[in-house]
Amino acid sequence: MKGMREIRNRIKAVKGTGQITHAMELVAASKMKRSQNAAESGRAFAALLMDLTELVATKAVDMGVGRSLPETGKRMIIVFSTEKGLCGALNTNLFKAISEIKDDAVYIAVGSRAARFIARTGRNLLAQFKMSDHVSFKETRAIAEFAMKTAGKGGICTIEVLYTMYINTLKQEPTLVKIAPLDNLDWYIATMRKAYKLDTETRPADNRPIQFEPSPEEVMAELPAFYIKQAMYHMALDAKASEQSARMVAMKAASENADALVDSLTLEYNKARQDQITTEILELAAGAQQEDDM
Amino acid sequence: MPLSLEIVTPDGVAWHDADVDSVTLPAKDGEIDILPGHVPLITILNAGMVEVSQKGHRQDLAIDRGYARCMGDVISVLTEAAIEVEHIDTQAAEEAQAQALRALEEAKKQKLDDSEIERLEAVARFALAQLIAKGRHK
Repeated sequence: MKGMREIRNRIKAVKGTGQITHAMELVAASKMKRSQNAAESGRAFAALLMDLTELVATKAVDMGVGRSLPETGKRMIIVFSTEKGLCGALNTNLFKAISEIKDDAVYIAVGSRAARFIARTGRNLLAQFKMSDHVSFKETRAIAEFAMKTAGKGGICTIEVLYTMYINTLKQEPTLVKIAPLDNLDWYIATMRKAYKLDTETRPADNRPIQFEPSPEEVMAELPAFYIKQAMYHMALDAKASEQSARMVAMKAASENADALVDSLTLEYNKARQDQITTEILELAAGAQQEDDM
Repeated sequence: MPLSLEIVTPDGVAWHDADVDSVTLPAKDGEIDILPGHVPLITILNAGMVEVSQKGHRQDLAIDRGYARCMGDVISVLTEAAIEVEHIDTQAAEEAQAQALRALEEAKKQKLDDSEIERLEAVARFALAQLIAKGRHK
């Protein structure tokens, strides 16, 4: 049987850890809310952009999104991981998805976890970006601009994003999405509409023919950049919401484990205390007996 | 019938009013005035100033590069950043621009990565748009 002091110290330590994990759980919950709110405020922008894209696409201009990319070349994969750990199997699942990519690819890591993994496994790491907990459009824009510029220099055939899609608090899935060239525009628009719940028609009624300034081709040429940036922003927010909810769940489990451990340690402590009292009484009784006998 | 104008950024709707007489937009090939009954239009916008006329009073906004869509007397502006002229802090904009330009010089010398340069260019561009808008507003 361990000494009482030792058990008492352990109880104290476990309680402390439990308090920390509980606090982290609450912080993660509030940050998750914030990511979701940010996604909500980006709704108007997404709606207008989807609408513009559709308007231009129906103008029968060939969707030239990323058409400048060559047919063959390396894949460029942008990985949204986390900066910190303690978020369950989120990064592990993400890395499993990276391991499944066998083609020749170059990587852009967002978050130090992915950067470390990619570098360690000897893959071609092109750049590493940091992402704050409060994801802003500016941050993702920098990543998108870098990706587009690098791809523009040649040798890249696709730009893809690997991120953890938020399904619900308990479920997040690593998802690989191609953002350029955009040959599945309809799918993309539908996904965005669903993600932002844009089921209502926002376009004002006007059936006169649309005029494009300076020209439909130029309007078209500039759209993909907006489009890719918006997609990246959306995915970054989603990845952040996933990270925070994974962390929340992991920390909740840790807090519960700590509580259970405190319970069993308390039981052990009480037993040790009882033992000690019993021993003391026995000793006293034995002492009294001896005195009587004398 | 009055015009309706909304300026939309990734952070949300930056400005919205459903009772506007005319709007001047910084289109790529020069400024465009839009009055009620304008033909449906989609145009590229440069970073610059949006002038809004409302019952004889004028409201100016600085915007970054973007798009405008005008359909059925509803003008929607899609841009990465927008600010009302009264809210522009000239000093802050000047400082942001100077800082961005300085960092830009530095970056070009040291060949920093392109993303950083792009970010600074965006800062400088929007700061300039703000300053132009503020200067004309006086």
